[in-house]
Amino acid sequence: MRYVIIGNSVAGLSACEAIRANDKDSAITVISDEPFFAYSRPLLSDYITGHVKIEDDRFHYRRAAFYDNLNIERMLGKKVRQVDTKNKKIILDNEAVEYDRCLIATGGTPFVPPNLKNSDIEGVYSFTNLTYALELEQALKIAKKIVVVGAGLIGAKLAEKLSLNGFDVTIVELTNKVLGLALDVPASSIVTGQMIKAGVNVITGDSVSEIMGTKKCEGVVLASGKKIECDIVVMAIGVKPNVTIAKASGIAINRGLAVSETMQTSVKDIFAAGDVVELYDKVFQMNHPIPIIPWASVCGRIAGENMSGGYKIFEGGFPVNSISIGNASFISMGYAETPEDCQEYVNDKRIDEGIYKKIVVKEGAIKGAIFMGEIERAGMVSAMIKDNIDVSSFAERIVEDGFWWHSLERTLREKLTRRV
Amino acid sequence: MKLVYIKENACVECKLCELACYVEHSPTKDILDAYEMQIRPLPRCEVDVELPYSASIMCRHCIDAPCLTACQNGSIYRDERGAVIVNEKTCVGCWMCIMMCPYGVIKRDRRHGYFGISTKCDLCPERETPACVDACPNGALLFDDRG
Repeated sequence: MRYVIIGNSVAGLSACEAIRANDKDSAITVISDEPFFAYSRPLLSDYITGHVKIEDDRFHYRRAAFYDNLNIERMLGKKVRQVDTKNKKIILDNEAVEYDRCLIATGGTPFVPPNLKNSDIEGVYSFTNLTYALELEQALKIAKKIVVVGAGLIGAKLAEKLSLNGFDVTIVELTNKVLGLALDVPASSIVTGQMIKAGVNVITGDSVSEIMGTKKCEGVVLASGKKIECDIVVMAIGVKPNVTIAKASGIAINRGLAVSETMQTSVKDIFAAGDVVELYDKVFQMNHPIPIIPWASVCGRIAGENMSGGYKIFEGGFPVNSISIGNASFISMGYAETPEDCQEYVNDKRIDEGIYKKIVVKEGAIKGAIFMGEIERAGMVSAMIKDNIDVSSFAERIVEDGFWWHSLERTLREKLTRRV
Repeated sequence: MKLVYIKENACVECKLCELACYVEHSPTKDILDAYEMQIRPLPRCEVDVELPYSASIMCRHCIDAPCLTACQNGSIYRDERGAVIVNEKTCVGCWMCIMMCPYGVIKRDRRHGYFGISTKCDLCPERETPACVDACPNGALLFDDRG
């Protein structure tokens, strides 16, 4: 058996671990267009501010001996063009690699609006991988004023860190609140407060319609007509599945690369996992990309298991995020704003101290949660979504101060304890 | 592997488990030294009380540990005993482990510099029986084979 993994990050390496556990002898090859050891993407903004270095253990997804210990061949800095699914070959620029089973774990690619004028001039950067981060790092050596477009998880964190490092930073967000997909209005206000405290100029309800400059970025024009001078624009609107290879290979794509619950694509012996795929979302009850590390790891593992003779299925995920902006640490999942057909339970007694908790419930099932300031019990709630726990009898207790095992009925407590 | 089993009817909320835990996780393991430390270790077990319920709660060292798969940089691993361990040297305090922990037993320690550290039960690697179990005066914590 010969395994080829396209992608050298969370899903790809998790698959390698699962394959190696089942199959000690077969060849595993990891191919990536980036030349680096697998690194931790959430740390890119800490890399930019100098708090973590490329050689640090903590910057890497696995320790240095990982590839050798698992006997994994690396082909790094090489771009895959296509998978020849008929002859079972991975086609690269000047070579081809044969496979028996292949995993496509090509991750995400930054989304840049196609109609944005001058988005290709010098001084406009994306920030979703280390290659981009190294480019941005060079540019920051002479830049002073920065505009970050999009106040999602990547943009908000980067803006805050750059501002604390002395740059003049403006963040422009199309919707009426920062971290709009992850937070409701009260929680988002807390984060906005922290960003302002860090010195970030926060603009919401506006968007960048044009980048000014001919060869080099000189500033941005907003939809409202306002102009902001800057040396650098960082595009952080969002990430979409990187389906280029899948598309070129004739593999089925919907909102992301389509996979079965075993992570098999439309083509036999080709599996996929990570930010490139669409997953079943048990909160939103549809298939869509849920590009977060935990599902990439879980699904990579499932793919690897199924590629190497085992059988495991993915039972569905949901969006769930953990991030800190200034003093505001939060964990949120599912619906941020409460839909009309759901009931919400809120604890905002200490919102002035930055502590805010909310859960969204529909017919006894948790459909969303925000834990801001006090986050230690948030995982109990994500587990309740995962395990379809009916919370009707204790929903209001989940947002209470001190919510923990005592808040649960004994039968549920025992059930939780038994699941070890 | 062996695990600390929690018997909620036997706990008398004396919190000796918490004390024993932070002493065990201090450099000298001496109670007075530990008490006087400027940054005292966080206890990794904690007594949860709402009478008549009380119990000392700590990591269950899940067989399929969601904290381990959620970790962004491989800082959570399983040691040779089967215990789920945080590498405090590489943890960056992103709290994604907390986000996935079904038991709410991972604590945030933000007293050590730029990066926070996720802090949880390590089943006392230097002891035969975890300190909390030895300290419990009423048999509310049992160190027993996972059944």
